[in-house]
Amino acid sequence: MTRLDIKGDARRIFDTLRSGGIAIIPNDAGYALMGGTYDAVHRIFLAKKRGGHKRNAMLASMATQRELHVLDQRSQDMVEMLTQDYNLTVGVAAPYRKDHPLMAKVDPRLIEASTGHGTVGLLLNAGPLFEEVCRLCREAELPVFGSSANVTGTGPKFRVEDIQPELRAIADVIIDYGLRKYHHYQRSATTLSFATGEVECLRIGSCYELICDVLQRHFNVTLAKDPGREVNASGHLQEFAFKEVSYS
Amino acid sequence: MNSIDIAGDARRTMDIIKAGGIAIVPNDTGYACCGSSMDPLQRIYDTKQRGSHKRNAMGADLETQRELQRLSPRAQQMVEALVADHDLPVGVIGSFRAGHPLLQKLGDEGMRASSAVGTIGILLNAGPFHKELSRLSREEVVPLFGSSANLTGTGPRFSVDDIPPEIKAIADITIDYGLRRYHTYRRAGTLINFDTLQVVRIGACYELISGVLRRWFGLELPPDPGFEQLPSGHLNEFGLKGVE
Repeated sequence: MTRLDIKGDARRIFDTLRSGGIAIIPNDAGYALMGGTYDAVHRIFLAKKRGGHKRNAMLASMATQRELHVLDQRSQDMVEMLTQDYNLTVGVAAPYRKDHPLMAKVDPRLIEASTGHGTVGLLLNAGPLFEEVCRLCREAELPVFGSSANVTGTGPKFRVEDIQPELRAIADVIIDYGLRKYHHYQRSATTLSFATGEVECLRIGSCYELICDVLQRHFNVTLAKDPGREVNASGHLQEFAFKEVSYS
Repeated sequence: MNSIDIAGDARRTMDIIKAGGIAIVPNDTGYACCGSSMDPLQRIYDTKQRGSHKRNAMGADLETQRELQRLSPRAQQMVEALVADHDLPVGVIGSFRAGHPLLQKLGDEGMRASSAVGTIGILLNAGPFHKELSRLSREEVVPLFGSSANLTGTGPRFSVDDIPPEIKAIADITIDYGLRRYHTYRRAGTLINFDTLQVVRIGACYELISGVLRRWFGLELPPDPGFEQLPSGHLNEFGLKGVE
């Protein structure tokens, strides 16, 4: 086999998630561990040895983001421009509609572990396979959550062989597409927050300088300066902003 | 609504190129100067102070590349995998169909400046603007040829501010989309001759391209000696010196 079967792989991932399994999927910003049920996400949490202050991100297509996030026009324009015009991967945390069919289905314990201060973080535009998985999940109204395929605090993984064995062991399906596009940043995806009505950076990550350039030129917004990986390896600017969640 | 009008910008660019003008366009691999006939290409060439061993590259999408180049089935699969599956930008050098309508339009003189030893180079998949302009080029049969918006040998430019004033001065339109995606590589797009499977220039995404070709096609590309050792990435810079 020399060609990828993106549609077929997305279907396998989707089937795994829908049946309560765990998938390792290749996003442009690194490999991610994803689950579609409370039990699956809890198993990921335990295997990663995550702190309770961390939140899961949700996978979303732009169609879902537009419905789910409650943003003013200017903020939504920023998200649209970054993902649609400039084709950049970005995580966006913002207030959400609690009555949205996708959220209404989520186990309350999973809501608690995936939201903070009334916001939910969505990973957007993370590559062709990601888009196809998001499309299938949207059609089936299947909410899917997850985070980097790593033991917490060890940095994102850009190759399947770099993912810790104990994490590979809990995955029911692993899609290996080789080295990920944004490996040279050596950080996860950049995450922006719109919780206060103003955009701010929660985590400096891949494409951060490109995201800063777009927001500066088109919206006259200046994001925090990147102190560099030597000073802030994870890129987190507000690491402990959320309270501990026990998953019990 | 605050957004960029990629379709509108590509339309304006195409109209200027069609009328014999010069455009500076925002590829993911850096800003490029392009035109569609010998006159603008000669002006670009003279302003850049290029050596005669350098060739113009073509900008196109995969649909045009499939029609215009004649690669072996295996080589074509490599190109399809890099572009369609892994979404990487790549410059594909290979033999071509001289009778293709886009090359017929370019004319004999333009072809001499844009081909060498029976091959032509095509930059594929260089971002949303490149995609839209390539579509117009195909549909309206207007060839797109050009090269980096720089003085020869001085490295690609990833911001309009960094393009030398004399290059900006010859452009009839400049599309400024800010900092270009692959600026981190500090080199232009990777160029591979898919007839011989030899790397001509190590550039953007080279480690990703090498990874795909090694893993899915069993092809080992040469290691990158690194930017400090080889800033331009050219492995055979003067291979075409003296070639007509």
